[in-house]
Amino acid sequence: MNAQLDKSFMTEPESTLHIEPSSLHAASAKPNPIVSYQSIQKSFGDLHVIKGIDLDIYPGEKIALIGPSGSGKTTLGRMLMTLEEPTSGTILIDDEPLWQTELKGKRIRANEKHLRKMRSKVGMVFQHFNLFPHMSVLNNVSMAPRSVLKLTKEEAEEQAIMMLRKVGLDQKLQVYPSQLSGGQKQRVAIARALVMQPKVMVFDEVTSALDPELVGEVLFVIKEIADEGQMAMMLITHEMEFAREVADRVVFGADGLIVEQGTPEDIFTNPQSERLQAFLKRFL
Amino acid sequence: MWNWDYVIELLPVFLKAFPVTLGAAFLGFTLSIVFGLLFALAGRSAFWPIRWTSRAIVEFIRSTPLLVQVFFLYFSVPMLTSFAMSAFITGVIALGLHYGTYMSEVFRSGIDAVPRGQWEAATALHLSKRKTWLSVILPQALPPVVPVMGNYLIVIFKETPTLMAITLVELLLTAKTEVSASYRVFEPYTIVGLIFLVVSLIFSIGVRRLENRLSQRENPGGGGKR
Repeated sequence: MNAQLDKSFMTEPESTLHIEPSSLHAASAKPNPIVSYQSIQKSFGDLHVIKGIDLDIYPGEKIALIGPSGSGKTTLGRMLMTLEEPTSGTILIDDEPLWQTELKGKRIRANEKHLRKMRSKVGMVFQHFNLFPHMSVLNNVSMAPRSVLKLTKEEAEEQAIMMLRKVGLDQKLQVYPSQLSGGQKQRVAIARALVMQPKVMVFDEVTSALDPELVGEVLFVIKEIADEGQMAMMLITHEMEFAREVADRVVFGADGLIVEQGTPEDIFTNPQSERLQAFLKRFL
Repeated sequence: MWNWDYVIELLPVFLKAFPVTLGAAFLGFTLSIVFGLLFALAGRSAFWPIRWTSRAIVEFIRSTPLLVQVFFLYFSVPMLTSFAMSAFITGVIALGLHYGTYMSEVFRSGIDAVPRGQWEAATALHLSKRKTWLSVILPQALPPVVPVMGNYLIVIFKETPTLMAITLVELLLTAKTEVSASYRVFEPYTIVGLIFLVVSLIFSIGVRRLENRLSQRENPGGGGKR
């Protein structure tokens, strides 16, 4: 009797505790997705890169996009950052179309003003860092908060230093990018994207351009940010271990389509499709 | 044939004309940078009428001789608009416009050399168009083309005698006036040639020094793919 009571006492709070943002989408009361790709297609000339993709990302959710090169993973991320326009289909951010606006009841192609408003919810870290080489680390991170969020110089620098501390580079404020290692550059780039406080952040193969011994430090930083929870993350990656560790959901794409998706457990230990089985074999 | 006494007599005369030549060259050069930037930016406008107009103007100016443009500005514009300018101002504007079209090509190459990743990073940080140009693109596009700009300063300097056609009293017109007064051709023209030679050489040494300094300062990496 006593033991039973004890048990129920133990399980009760545990089940409520489990409703974290990351697992909310699995519960019955689904929040609206922060990002929703709806029948997205993309062609570059004759090359049909994305052949119809539907994908929802929920607030705070970490999804990993894996798949062979050329499967359109990066293009999917770049579309969200408005660096690439879908050939057809709709992308919603917070239920609002990214690439279209309404004018007198008609849907028209979005203008720059609409795109700017929409993309303020999105951040991106690039494979090749794309730091501004003529600016110090501190300026790289603090310029956008000053110019876009209209913070004062002091506020912006304070925020920037806070983010740089998070990535372990607050000792390098006055250093220029050319004096940093690849891993350090990428961590600055992460701080630079974080300081804008996006709701969803695209990490586009952020370790692919790094020397193998520098990959760890960058993944460690991303893992820490992921553990903070609030921000949705789209991790385009070839690091399977990392995807398994960080992602709530793993999406496997090939030839411009989503072939299989599920929890890291499902995808890595119990892959269903032959495509995925063959793909994973190459990483084991 | 060569009379040193006459040369000494000529020097103060040329000394008076020299600032006119130098001033026209420097102001024309400055204006060519302004026009060059305007043409380069307008040529990239997302709005096609601006893009096409800018390209048409550039093509038109480049396809007609500087001398014709100078005449047009000095003689025809006042007739068309009752708006007249001094020979000096006209000359500076003509040089600025003419070489601005060439300068725009220099800027275009500098802008094209900025890696695409820099534009993408600016987009990802939600920077405005203006901020992207002023803080990200131009600071990277301009330093590499400074030596080429310097060479255009030399070209413009050597092109200033064109302005004697609209009676600007620069070095060559001064020489010509002296010749017709003294009937001595040898000294005045030789001195003018020597002045151009010396100043051009000084300019090109300066440009080369600047080039060395910039290539030393250039820091590779950090900017993504080149």
